[in-house]
Amino acid sequence: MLRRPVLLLPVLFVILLVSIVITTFIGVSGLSLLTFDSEMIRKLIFEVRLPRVFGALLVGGGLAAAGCVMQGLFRNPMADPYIIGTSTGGALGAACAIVFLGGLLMPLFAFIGAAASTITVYIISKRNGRIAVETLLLSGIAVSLFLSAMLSFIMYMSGNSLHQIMFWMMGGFWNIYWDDVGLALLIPVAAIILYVFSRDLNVMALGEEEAIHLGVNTERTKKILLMVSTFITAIAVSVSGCIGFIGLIIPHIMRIFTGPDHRILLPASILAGSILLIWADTVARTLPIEIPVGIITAFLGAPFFIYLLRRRTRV
Amino acid sequence: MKPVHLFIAVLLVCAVFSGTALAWNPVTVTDDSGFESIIESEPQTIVSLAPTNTEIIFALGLGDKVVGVTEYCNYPEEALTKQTVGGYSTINVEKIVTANPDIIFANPKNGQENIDSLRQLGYVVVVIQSDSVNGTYDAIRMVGTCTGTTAGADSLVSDMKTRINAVTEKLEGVTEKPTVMHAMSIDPYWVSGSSTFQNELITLAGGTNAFADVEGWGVVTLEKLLTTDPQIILVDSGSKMGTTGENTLQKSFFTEQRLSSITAVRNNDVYVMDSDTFDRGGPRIVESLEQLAQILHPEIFGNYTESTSSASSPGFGVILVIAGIILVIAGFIGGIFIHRRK
Repeated sequence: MLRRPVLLLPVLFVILLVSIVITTFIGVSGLSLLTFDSEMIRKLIFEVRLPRVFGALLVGGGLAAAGCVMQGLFRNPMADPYIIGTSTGGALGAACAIVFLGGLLMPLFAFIGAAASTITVYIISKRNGRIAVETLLLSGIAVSLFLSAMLSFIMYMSGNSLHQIMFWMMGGFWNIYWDDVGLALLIPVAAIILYVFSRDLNVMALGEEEAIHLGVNTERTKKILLMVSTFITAIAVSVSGCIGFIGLIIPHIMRIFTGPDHRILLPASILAGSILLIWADTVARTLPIEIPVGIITAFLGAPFFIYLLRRRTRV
Repeated sequence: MKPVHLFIAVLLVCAVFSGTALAWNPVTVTDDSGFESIIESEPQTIVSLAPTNTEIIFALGLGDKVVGVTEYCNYPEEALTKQTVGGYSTINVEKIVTANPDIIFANPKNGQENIDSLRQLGYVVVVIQSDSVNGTYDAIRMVGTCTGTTAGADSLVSDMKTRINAVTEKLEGVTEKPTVMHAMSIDPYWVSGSSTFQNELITLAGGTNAFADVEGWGVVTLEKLLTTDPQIILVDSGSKMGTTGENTLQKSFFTEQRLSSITAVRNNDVYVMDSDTFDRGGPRIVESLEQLAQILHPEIFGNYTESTSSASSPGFGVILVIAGIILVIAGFIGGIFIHRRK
C-alpha cells in the first residue's frame, strides 16, 4: 500500500491520457500510414481506431468498477462482474441472435440476456424483501450453470454459426463504431452512482450487521449497487462480448496500492481497467491476425498479478 | 448324360450368381490418414460421414447403396431422404451399427476417436480429405477404387478436368487479376487466406486472394480490410441468413458506412457464393469455378447474374425447441413464486 494512495489517481489519469494518444497512432498499417492519402488517414484514425480506443476505455473502466463493487458487496475476493450470471445470460442472448436472426440486434439481445439473468437471480434470492449475499452468490452460480447448459445446447445445434458464437464469447471490439461508444457512455454515468455509495461500501465491508448499526440502509444500498453494476456489466457485454479478467483482477491489483478504501479504490480501478483494456485491445488489433481481446487481457494481466502477489507476500 | 447336364447347370448357375463376386479382387487402399484397409468384397451398403463424400458417392451413381449420411449432407436431393447418422464430430455410432454398412467413407473432421471406435467395431473406414482441386480428384478416384466404379470415377475426373481447363485456357495471358476477399463472417471479418480451398479456386478463376498473407482461415481487422481494399468481395450464403431471405452478410457490407470507400462496395461487387458448393471439395467445384470466373472476368465469360440463394433460414423446429426451453424457465420461475406463496 502506498503512503499517500490519493496521489495514485492523478498518476493513473496521466498514464490514461498518454495511452489514448499513443494507442491511437498504433495500428496494423503501422508506419505505412504515411503513404496513404489524408482521407484514408482521417478515416483510420477517427472512424476505426478512436472508436476502439474509447470503447475499450469505457468498457475496461466499467468492468473494473463493477468488479470492485461486487467484491466489496459480496465480501468475496472471487467475485467479478459476471458472478451472478451476467456473462452467461449475455452470451445466451447473443447466441440466440446469431443463430435465429443471423446476427441482427445482437447487442440488444446480449443486453436483455444479461439483465434478465441477473434479475432472475435477484428474484430467486429475495426473501421477505431482503436478500442475503450468500444466497445471491449461490443462486447466481446455479442460474449460470443452467444458462450455460442452454448455451452449450444452442452452440451444439448451431452448425455453421458456431465460430460466430465463439468469437463473441471471447470478447472483442471488432467493428466498434461511434454509436457503440455512445451506448457505452452510459457506463461512466452509472459509475458516478457507484462512487456516491463508496463510503457505504466501506462500512458494509465490516459486515452487514455492523453496517446497519452504523446507520447504513443496507438493503437499499445493496439493491442500488447490484442494479447499477449489473447495468454497467450488461452494457459492457452488449458492446464487446464477455471480456474476462479485468473485473476480477484489476480491483485486486489496485487494492495492493490503495488499500481497501473504496473512495480511492473505485476510481483507481476504473482508471487502471481503462488503461489495461486500451493496451490489450491495441495488442489485439496490431498483431498480424486479430486476436480476441479477452485472451490478451488474461495473458498479460495474470502473470503481472502473480508477480504483485508474490512481491506483497514477501515484504 | 443327366449328371453331366446337372453339373453344367450348377456351374452355370454358380457363374451367374457369383458373376459380380468373381469379378471383385480384394483391394488394399491407403486412405488420406495413412491407414490401410482391405476391401474383401464389393460394398453393397455405404455410410458417408461428410457432405463431400456424399456428393461424390451420388455422382458415381452409388446413391442406392447409401444407408447413412450426416445432417449436413443436403446434395443431391436424394441424400436428404437417407437415414442420418449424426453431424460431423457428433456421429451416432449406434445408428451406424444399425445401418451396418460394408464400407464407411469418413472425413478427418469426424474426429480420430470416432474413426478409431468404428474400426474397433470391425467396420472398414476410409478417411477422405478433399480440400483442394487435386484432392477432390483423388477423393473421387478413391471412392471409385473402394466401390469398384473406377471407370465412372475416371470419367468424372476427366469431365471435371475438361471443364476446369476450359476456364483456365481462356484465362491464359490475362494479367489483370482482381483482388478477392472471401468472407465467412463480418463481426469479426473472418476470411479465407492462403492454403485454403477457396484460395485455390480464386486463383484458378483468375483472381488474387486479397488476404493471401493470412494462413488458413483467419480474422482480419477493419483497418486491414480498409487498407487492403479488395476489388471483389465474396460472401458465404450459409450461416448468415436473415429471416427475410436476403443475405445479411452481403447486406452488411453495404450498410456499414466505413466500408463505402472500398472498391468492391463502391462498384457493387459483393457476391453471394453458395457455401455448400463453394466450400466443399466435391464434383460441384467446377460449378463454383465457372461462376467465379464469370464474376472475376465478365469481359471473357459474360456477365454474371446472381441467382437467388437457395439456402434457407434456420428451421422452425429449432425455434420451437427454444420456445419450449423458455417456457420451462418461465415455469421454473413461476414455480418458485408459487412455492413461496405457501
